[in-house]
Amino acid sequence: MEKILEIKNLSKNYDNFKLEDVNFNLEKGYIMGFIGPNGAGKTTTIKLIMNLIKRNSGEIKVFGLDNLHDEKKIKNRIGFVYDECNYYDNLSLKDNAKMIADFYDKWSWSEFDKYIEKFELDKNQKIKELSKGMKTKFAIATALSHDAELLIMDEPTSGLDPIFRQEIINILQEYIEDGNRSIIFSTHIISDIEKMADYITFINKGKIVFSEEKTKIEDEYRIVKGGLDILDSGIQNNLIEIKKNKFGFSGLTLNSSALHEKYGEAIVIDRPSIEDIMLYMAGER
Amino acid sequence: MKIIISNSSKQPIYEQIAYQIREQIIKGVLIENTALPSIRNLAKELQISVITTKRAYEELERDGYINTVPGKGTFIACQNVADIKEQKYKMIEEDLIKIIEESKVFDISKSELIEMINLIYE
Amino acid sequence: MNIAVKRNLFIMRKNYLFNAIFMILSIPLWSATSNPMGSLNLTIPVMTYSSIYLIEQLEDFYKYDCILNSLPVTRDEIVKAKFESILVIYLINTILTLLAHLIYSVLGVTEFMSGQMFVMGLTLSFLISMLFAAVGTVLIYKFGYAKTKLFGIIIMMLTMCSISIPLYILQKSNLVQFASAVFLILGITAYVVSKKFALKIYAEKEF
Repeated sequence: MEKILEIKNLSKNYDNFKLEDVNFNLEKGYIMGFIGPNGAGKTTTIKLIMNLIKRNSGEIKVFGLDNLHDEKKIKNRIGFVYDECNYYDNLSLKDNAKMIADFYDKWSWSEFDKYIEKFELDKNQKIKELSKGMKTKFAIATALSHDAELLIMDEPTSGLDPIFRQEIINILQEYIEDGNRSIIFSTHIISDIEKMADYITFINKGKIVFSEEKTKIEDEYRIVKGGLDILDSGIQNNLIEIKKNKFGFSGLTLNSSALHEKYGEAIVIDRPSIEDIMLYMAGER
Repeated sequence: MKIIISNSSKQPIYEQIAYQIREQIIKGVLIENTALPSIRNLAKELQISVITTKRAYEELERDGYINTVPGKGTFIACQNVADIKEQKYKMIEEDLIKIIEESKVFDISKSELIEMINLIYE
Repeated sequence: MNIAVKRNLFIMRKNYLFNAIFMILSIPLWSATSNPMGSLNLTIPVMTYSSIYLIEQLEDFYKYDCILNSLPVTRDEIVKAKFESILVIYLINTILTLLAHLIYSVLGVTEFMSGQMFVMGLTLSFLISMLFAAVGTVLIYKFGYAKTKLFGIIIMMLTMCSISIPLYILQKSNLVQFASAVFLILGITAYVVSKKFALKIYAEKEF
């Protein structure tokens, strides 16, 4: 299968933060959810792909092309939606779009108009009059209007109500339906990921924890719960993360069958949601 | 073809899909050479990820229930009648095991159970 | 015309009105001052300055660099377009100012200059404009808009106040032609060197 995005040994050093040895790939036709707590390195990774910041080491290939050497060719085929970047507040949606449209070979005003209408936006309104959600909708409309083969989105659904988030999910799923386009998006809203992602890449403290097919994650990870009395080093060695309370413990494991064999009825084995996995591996509950 | 996904079920979605398609094949609802939707089309309709439908089809194909013809699509494979009967036996067996376990919990004896079966069978 | 240049000219739309008013008002006023050529050597630079700095102010305010650098355009192209825009804006401002001057002189409000003083006025306007716009752009890339803006305003004020003195001296001497050539060369140098530095600085920037 053709790889649309290949990241090898990517590193970036800041004073207080390091992105270390990031490796993952995305194949054509799929959606990758890029998750991790705040400050984990999601935005840094995306900025490195788009060459907004310079990497210290590693390689990034998009559409099989080097992202530094063929920057312009690549960016022509990428649609982007950022969380922070701003448009010209005093200009209308239409004028802002005009300033972007000319740069793309395959820009389509009819597609743009279609999305603007679908999102119930007014082309002639100024950006500063829009809510955050509406600005995001505008950003999404521009990203989808030039036949981009890869959509790179940083928190594309933040600021949107659940009804509209579902609509965006539907639009994105339709966008990749022909199998020729891919999407990578980072988000905190894990429920969006659970629905539409094919692959999930989890980053924490600048390192990739896993990058895997969602079905494999569903197969492999389990939550094991039991009483504190059986919590010994034998169990602990099999748990990736453990949480204890007064009445028992729960832990994330990849070895549920081994534990089931050994402890049988003494433990309860549950399937975790993606959010559960992230909370166990990265946060305090 | 009917596919109903339960989000609250403990069974992963790809398993639910594979199970329901297999069930319909065994029951004869889906017959040989019927065309199935593409994995992408099915994913879009059910509003789930493509990798999930892909996995479901992979499992069904591995077990011989469906065939993918490159360029043409995915179709229900010719089913071996003996195999289907065996599958049906297995499904009923599974259900029977559950019933018998439950009966033991509630202290229903084997003879009481057989009496119930005789009554209901008519 | 290059998309990126068009973009720059579009962003500074609001500035056209200010420039026009400034130009129309200031031209007749210069004749009353000790710097009769001020309509050239200062009006044009001020107009150019305000255009370029307005573009930079908006870019800085809106942090548009992020989006701009995500579009299919290289960093070099962005910088080259910026410098092309400077020349275009300078040219437009010069033509407009000369036209306005012509109209004023036809109306009898001012005298239309010509000859060596005129040439010196033009070349000086080119030099000052390049110092503000081209060198200014490099400084903005390096130190950011906020710091450069303050610096720019101070320099502009100083220039406006003190320029008549050296000009007077030049006028009295016989070096006018020589001075014109020097201004032109300095102006071109400022432009070319600034562009080189700007390309280098912008290529390494992180957004």
